[in-house]
Amino acid sequence: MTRRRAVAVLATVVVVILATVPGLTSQYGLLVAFEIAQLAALAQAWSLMAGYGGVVSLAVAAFVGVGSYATAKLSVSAGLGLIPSILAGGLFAVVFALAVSVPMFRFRGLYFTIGSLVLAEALGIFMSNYNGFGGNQGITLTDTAPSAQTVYLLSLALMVGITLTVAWLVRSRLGLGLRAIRDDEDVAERVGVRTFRTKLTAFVIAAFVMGVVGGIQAQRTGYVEPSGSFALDWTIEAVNAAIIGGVGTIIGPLLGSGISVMLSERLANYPEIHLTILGVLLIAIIRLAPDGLWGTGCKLARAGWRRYGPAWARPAGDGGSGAVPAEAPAGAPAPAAALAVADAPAPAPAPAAADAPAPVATRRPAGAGTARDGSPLLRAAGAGKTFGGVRAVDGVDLELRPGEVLGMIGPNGAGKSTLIGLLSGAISGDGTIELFGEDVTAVSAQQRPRRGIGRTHQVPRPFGQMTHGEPARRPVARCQGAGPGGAGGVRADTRPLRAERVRAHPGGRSRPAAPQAAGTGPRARGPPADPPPRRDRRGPGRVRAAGAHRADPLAPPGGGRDPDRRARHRRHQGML
Amino acid sequence: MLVVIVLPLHRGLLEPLMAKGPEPALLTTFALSVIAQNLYILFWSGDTQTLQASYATASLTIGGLRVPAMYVISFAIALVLCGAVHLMIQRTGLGREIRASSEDSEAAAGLGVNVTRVRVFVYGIAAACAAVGGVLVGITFDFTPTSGLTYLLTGFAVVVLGGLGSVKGTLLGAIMLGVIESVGGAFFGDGYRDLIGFVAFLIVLSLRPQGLFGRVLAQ
Repeated sequence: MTRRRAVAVLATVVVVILATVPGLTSQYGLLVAFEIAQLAALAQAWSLMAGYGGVVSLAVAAFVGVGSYATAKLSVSAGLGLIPSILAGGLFAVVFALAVSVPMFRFRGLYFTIGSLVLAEALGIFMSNYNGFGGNQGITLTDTAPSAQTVYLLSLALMVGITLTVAWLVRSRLGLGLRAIRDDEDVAERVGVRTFRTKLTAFVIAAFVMGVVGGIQAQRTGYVEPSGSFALDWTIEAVNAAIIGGVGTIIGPLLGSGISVMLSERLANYPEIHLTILGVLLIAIIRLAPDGLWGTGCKLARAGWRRYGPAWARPAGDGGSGAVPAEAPAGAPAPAAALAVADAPAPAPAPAAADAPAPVATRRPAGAGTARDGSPLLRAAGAGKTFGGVRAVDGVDLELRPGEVLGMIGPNGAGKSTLIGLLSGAISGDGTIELFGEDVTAVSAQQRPRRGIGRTHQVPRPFGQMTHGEPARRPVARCQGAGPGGAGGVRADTRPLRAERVRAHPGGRSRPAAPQAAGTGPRARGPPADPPPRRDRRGPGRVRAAGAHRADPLAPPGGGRDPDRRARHRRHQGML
Repeated sequence: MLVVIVLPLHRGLLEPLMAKGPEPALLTTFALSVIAQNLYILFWSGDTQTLQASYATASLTIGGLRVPAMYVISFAIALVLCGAVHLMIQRTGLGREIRASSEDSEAAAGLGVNVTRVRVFVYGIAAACAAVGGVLVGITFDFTPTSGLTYLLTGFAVVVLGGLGSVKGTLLGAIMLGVIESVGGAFFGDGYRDLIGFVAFLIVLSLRPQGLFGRVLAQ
């Protein structure tokens, strides 16, 4: 499947190129082809960060500039050849990216975007004032410029390389983590995504590509100077191309680059009109087709296929929905779990400390899994937390053994959520937390899920643009890497937890648990025995995975969106 | 004049994007500025221009220092504007609605605030302030159709230095940025002026994201 996709992508890339360039034999044709490939590489790299990771950077020019200067400097001073100097440009851009990543990733959202723009501008100003790199005059390369053919092939190779990398990446764990960050960085962290490292990887890959583009440009033109190498145009064009084609799609940035370059060639004599049209086009796309030309086209095609395609492509039922109407499995065979962390569905009574604000109620479901050795999966000792002058949680001890369900009941403000926060690591407080006999008190919230604990939120916070099954794949994929035999050790122990899961629910309200979760298998791909609670609008292909969200201890699906269930929850709340 | 431009822009382009997070609106305004820049170049050429005024070149002597009159006038107008905006935000009903909407637009709407109308007002006021700034810049310095970007970034730097959403902070941040840039420019050379401002911006943003004068918002 993946290989076929990769081939399909590659084929499309080639077709796009051939289709947009009339004659590759002429110098002009080569130039246009080079420009398309160059812009496509930039747009693809930008789209990797922005489209998949939600890291909207306007510092494209900075990396292109660093790459250009590194290439020029090393070519002149160290006598590096064509390819080595260009690669060195990419490497210097990577070094630069690593250096700025620590402060830059402290910014979130718009601050990052603006910060990156300022960074690029600042670097440009520095280069035109600092004399070490030629100041405003820049550097003139001494080597003879490579032929148009060479330049084009280099750019083409770069474009194909980054495209295949992105195509492969987005299906990997890293891509999944990136998309989780884009949808909700806080929750991503809590389900175990190493947010910093994930963002950094995408950032560094993108920086390398941009640096190489800069290097090729330096070799092609034979000189570098600040106003050209660090020009804002690099950023504007890359962002434009990606958005017009479709950010977060693989073909989109390539398509957008083709359109963008062809438009600029047609209007080469009227640069102002060209940029004006580009601006109008950008606004129109953002407003009317936010997924870009390719993304929106795909959506329309899929919708049309489902509507007018062969009968089997059409969703069953007249509602037009691929999903069975939600019916919360209230009478499901599984225990109704409240708080929980476990490797088999069910927890043990935890005699809370005498003055613990949250009374603890437990229930031992008949026929619950047999404990492996009876040692507690989760143990809290003296857990406490003070907010200002409020002692929200005080001296809670609890133990959770395999096969137990532990409920926590308490009025508003009793500290239930705080305790869940302490257990999951989202809140740091007093006392110690042990997981599988290991002290995890100092382990961060994003590391704890990897040790086998999950939480859900009172108000569901699903990742908006993922299927239900995808969040479950993160930790599970990791478990699979731990080796098949389940040969002991924490990871092996944690696998059943992830597959079978018990829900942590801070509200203390009962939640229908997943009866068949274990049956969906660790990859969470099996057909759902349990209908997804809400209509999945992504078409039948994804609905298949949708039911599998129940195997996921971490991110609750959009269960809260179902009015019936919400109402039921409200009733529960009223009873507490 | 401005209102005629701002209202349809906001209604037609920005308001529908509000629900989709900040980036689409940001990119749309960015595209608008690209369009505007190129239309200016098309109709008025890309040449450097100045606004003529009789007092543009006059200067005052204050305590032995010769200061261009425009600097003093600009500063006075900026002070008045900041004061007016501050009073409007803190003391008027509209200001209360603005503060409520910025803190939690849903809750504000639930209490009867017309959030859309508030946004149009805020956008209009912001545009008017920017236009005043533009005129002052135009009288004091030369400008080209593309000189807006530098001022945009300077504006960001000021707001971040002072703390987002604080009028007093903005005023103090602006003065501070001016001092930092001037002192730095005298120290390292005039070419580094903007660079120093930007570096200050990045340092403050990474160490104190709430700004030098902003309060830490309780999570």
